[in-house]
Amino acid sequence: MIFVTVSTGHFDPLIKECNRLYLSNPEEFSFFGQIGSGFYHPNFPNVNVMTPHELDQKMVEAELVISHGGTGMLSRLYRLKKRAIVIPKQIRYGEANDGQVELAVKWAELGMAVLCMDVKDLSAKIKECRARELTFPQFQKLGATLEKSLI
Amino acid sequence: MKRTQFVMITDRGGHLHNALMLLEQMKISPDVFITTLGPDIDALSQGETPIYRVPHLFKWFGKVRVLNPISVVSHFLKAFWLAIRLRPYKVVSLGASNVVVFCFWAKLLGAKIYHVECMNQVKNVSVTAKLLYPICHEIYVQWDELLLQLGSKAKYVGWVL
Repeated sequence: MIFVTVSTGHFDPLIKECNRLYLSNPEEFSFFGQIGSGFYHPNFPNVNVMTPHELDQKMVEAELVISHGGTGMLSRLYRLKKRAIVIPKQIRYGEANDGQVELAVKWAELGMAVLCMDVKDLSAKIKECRARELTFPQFQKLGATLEKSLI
Repeated sequence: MKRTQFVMITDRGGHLHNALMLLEQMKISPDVFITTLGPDIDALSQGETPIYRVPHLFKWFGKVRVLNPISVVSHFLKAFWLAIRLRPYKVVSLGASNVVVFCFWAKLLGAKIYHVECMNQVKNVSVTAKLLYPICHEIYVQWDELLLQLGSKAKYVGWVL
């Protein structure tokens, strides 16, 4: 199962492309969607919102995850060390700004996800993601230093 | 009235998520949490830390952000009331725009302000960080690229994950 998640907002162009792939080959593209407040309702199983616990559970179950580039979602994927494609919400898809692009690009540069900037490339990115080994580098913990300043 | 030792203030969404992860890295907890109303703040309600909410400065109409004068007045007053009531010694801010007013009031009342840039600020400093920089004691960035854009108060010591 491929889990596609867009958080509480909407990302209909992504869901539409997932639906097109699903209709073309439901076995290869067996999606489950968390579609937020989207207006487009796909043919594959989906819900509007999920609790953090349900999100984690679905991510663990999934073969791979397709996520928007929000901090919360990427953090979850990092913690679960999950195979993922990140596709940032962008102005051209109706978003107010391109604020997710920087983090999505950085995530891919570090090898933590496959970057997809255009929904039309999704099929190729799914193939790439299935074939690639992702890496999850460790960083220092900011909280340890901040704590010293607060005591 | 007794002063509050440590207040954490954050917007909802990714900022709140950053805040919760940051707290997991620390052995101390805030005495008070301040945030904005959103569907994801239920996670906070399960803890013992008191939670206060400030109204959003902006209203969203689809993807368009509009400054609502009534919300702005209400936000300034609530932030002022909280600053007076709590009079914190130390404030940790995670952004975004809804934290700025409280931080300024708290600074006026003697608090030390620490700002943590959200993880999605990779190459560009947020407007929140630019506004808070003059009153901050320290600013923590999560990507070292940002150090070049900020002054000596900025530090890179890792991230919140």
